[in-house]
Amino acid sequence: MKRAVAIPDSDDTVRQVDLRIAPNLSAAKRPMPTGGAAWCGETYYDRPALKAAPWGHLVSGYMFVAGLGGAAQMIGAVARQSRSRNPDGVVRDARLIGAVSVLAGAAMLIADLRTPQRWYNMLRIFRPTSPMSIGSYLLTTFGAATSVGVADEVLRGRTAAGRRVMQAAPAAQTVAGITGAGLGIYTASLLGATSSPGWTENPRRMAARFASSSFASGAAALALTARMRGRLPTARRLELLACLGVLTHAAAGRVPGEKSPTTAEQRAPAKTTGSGTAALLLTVVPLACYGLGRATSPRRERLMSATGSFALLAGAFLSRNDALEDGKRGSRDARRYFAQAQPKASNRSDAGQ
Amino acid sequence: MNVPARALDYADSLLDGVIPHEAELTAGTRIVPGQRYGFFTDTTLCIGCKACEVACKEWNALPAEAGSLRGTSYDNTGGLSSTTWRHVAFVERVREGTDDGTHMQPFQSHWLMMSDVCKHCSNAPCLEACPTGAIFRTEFDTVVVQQDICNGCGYCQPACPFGVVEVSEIDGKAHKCTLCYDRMKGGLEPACAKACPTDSIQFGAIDELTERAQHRVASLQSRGVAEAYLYGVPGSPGATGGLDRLNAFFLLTARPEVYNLPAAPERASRRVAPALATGATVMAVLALAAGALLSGGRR
Repeated sequence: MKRAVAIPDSDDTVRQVDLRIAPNLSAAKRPMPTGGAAWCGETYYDRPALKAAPWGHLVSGYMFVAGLGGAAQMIGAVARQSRSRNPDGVVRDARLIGAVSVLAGAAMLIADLRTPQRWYNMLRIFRPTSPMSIGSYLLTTFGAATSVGVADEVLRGRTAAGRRVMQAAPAAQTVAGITGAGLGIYTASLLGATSSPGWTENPRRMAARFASSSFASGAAALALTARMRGRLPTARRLELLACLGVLTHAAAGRVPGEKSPTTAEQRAPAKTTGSGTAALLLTVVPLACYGLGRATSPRRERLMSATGSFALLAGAFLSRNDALEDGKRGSRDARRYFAQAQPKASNRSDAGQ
Repeated sequence: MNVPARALDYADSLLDGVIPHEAELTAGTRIVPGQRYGFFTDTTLCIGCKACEVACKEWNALPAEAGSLRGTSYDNTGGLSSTTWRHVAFVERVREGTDDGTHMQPFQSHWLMMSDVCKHCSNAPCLEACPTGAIFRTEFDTVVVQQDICNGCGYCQPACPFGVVEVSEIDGKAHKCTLCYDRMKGGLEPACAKACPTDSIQFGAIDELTERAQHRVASLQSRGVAEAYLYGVPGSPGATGGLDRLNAFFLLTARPEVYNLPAAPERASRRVAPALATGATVMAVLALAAGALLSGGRR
């Protein structure tokens, strides 16, 4: 019987290892891999080789809310720049949505800390290798710029201070737009810069998805407020933007990874990531509702469009939650991690067999 | 190991205080700030006594786990955690090549034992992820969590490619092996290495340890243990994907996965820039589209 060559210094020796030798568990007892390629060699009693992130709904809620508010402020900044028909309405709503989301988001983040009374340590240093550090400064800058905008909405240049705020408001809107765009994407980078298989398999695709669903949810939230205030043409345009975001999200599944997949096993995560419910709510329902709404009476349109926007928001939250849970599941699955953590190139496909 | 002559100055059972540079007597190393220190864990010498686990818990005053039997091996600790900074893995192989236990190799050393610990990586992913600066690199090139700064965000936990650091539910801070930073400050060898009865855990300056480890591999291979190799020294498994070296490295005799170690871990921060760039590109395109759509009505 061939003895296992156990020195994985080079690609050659790894491939020589006989994977049938000494499995700890019989095939029947082995847990099913949670998605993607699975390591079929010997493991340490299938115990997790990684620690899962200790994050729950508060964090997926934050990722959703920050993306929504950030994208709304970005659309507000774009509306102001592009001389649209009624920029003031969009900008005002964007500022309010941004302010609510930054307050809610920061509260959720602090509540998720295991030692919340030390939240301010997040701004103790700046560390460019840590997306969480990048995000802390993005959120702080966004919050500051958004509060200038909100102050402008409240004061409207009435007092001396109000006039100064009014002068600063356009610049602040640009800053809020740029940092707001960052809030929608840095969370994907944050999850990608870990060791959890569900997140590391394709950080680029995750970033494209987070960016487009943030954009869609920001547009949908603005569309809802525009409808509430009876500004129909603006609302319709914003719904169109939401559709664009949703379609980009659907197309983002095709973004290639750093390591382009070569085997069927490695392509599998694209299908397993995210539940069907999220895709349905985020893509199918809004597109159908917006489309059907236009084809019917104005009263029906209002109801259909609102349904579409709310479905989109729910879908965006669910898709963040699915992404979060996928990584937590992946880090508990040693076989999924070991399949990924193999020396590059040839033996990668061996691991999946 | 050559014991310095000054060991005779401390022949009494009861001592007045800490022996200056005690590590020189127990590990043959004088601990000097600015030098790299670490562990060389030679798994071929491990007898699975778990003295390291106990010594670590004793010195660092770590709480005991509510024990339960896992039913897979003599390892009921399971793995490293916020309250277990040394963990002895028991790979109880009862069969090889055949499906029954009657064809075991004729010696019990077919059981593999390995005392796992924080690797104190060079380019430590936990340190690179920590947004508060609570995790820092010490003057001994080790990686330590500052308990008075950590706010329990938990980012280091999934960032670690070895599943070492963990945020404790007890106090809400991240905990892991400090390579006995406090002992090293006082010139003492880390508790686990000092307690190890077979010198499976060796403490010392990295360069010296690496040389010793390479000699050990050569010696084992010349005696027929062809599968012996180092995990975590530069150019070997474990020191891959941007991780230059592991300051706690291992001599293994089976594939890394057998000991619950990844064959080719990666430095997580490598994935920051690609994700940010792709996301920013998508967002920029969508913003441009928004600009075009929103300005359409006026013209």
